[in-house]
Amino acid sequence: MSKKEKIKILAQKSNIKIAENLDIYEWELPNEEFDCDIFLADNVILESHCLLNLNGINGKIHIHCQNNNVVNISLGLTTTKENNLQILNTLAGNSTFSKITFHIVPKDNCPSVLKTVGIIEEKTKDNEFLEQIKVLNINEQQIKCLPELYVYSNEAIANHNATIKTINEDELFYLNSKGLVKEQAMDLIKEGFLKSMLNK
Amino acid sequence: MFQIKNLNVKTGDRKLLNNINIEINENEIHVIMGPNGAGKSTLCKAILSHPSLEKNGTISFDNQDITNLKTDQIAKLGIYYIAQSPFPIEGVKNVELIRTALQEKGSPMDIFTFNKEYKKYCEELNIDKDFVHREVNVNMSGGEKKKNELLTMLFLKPKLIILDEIDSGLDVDAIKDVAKVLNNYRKNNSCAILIVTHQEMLLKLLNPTHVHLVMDKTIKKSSDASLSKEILEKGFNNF
Repeated sequence: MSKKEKIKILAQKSNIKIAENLDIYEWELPNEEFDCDIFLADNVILESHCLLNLNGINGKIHIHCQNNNVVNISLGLTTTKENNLQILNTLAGNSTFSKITFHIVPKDNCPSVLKTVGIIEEKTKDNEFLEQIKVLNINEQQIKCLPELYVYSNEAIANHNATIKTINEDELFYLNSKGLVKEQAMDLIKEGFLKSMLNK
Repeated sequence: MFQIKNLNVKTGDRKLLNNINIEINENEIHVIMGPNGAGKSTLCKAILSHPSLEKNGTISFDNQDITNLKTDQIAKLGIYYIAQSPFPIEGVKNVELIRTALQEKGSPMDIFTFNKEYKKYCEELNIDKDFVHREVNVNMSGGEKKKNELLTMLFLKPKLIILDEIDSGLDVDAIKDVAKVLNNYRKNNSCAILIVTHQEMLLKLLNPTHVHLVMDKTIKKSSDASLSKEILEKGFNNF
């Protein structure tokens, strides 16, 4: 069983140490620039599956794993205003599984940058890292997604991918044929896209 | 109740249907049969104003011209369409879609009534009671998708049901379930059915009143149920 908590990240430089299994159900990010390091003790499971609106944030969250950690983070992100968010995950020990998934719906035309970085350090083994970014882009909003991966160990499995999807005609037709007007159908599709990884 | 007069359908420069005429009255079941590519699915989509299709002619429903109405407006009048491959909507649960559709139709349903109704419908369709909490047509087999569409239909209570190869992906038992649900629905509601199918068992169970043969982009022959037997015996090449 994991402890469920809302996490509040402070402005500028901060550290959070996690010694027991934790499920973050809500993230509170500051409006000012932030740089937060999260350190996991050995054998700790860190999970977070929630929706988050990025409203003009600028900062970095760096998750440091040791041995036998499980990191499973899936966030449904909407962006309003211009954002710059970096999520880093360093695997410095052995036998850690880390999966970070973002489903993103940009809501206005302010260009946001979202960078995810996976680092598997040398002389580590049996680590697995998976990074997935999916963007639903409806009105050709600008968003820059940078899934980066630095693997310094030969004994690791690492994967990353980024995909962009739009709403297709048949998807809209299907919902319209149930009596939903176009705007309502699009809202339902956007909401579903953000929530889809929560249901899994 | 429902009339198609001199309907022509095209996409871009390509003609897909030519001079289609059908009249459907309450309690009737009309079957559309025809070879692959004849335009059967196009006809279903054209009735619902699929955005890729251009049409001229007249389609009317309950004495109202619906030719140029949008898909959602046609659906709200009581025309329900089940596609050959119902589209999956990731992350959206059936309960959300059905309740939104009911709200849009002007018949909102409180959650207690909804729960009571869906349990009844799940039993009727022979599906698990957790179906409404599953994502719309996501990770469902062909048969499950069709039953899922019928579940939504039972809530929306349409007056005209358009079914495009509802039998595809269904096993023998599922075909019986689907026929039973449609026949029960007909018994308890004033409605009509337009169905594209060549499935002998389903035809027997539904007992259609009219059959139309669509070939070469038009209706080549219309008759009573005897036409479906003739088509199934002789094949399309003999018409």
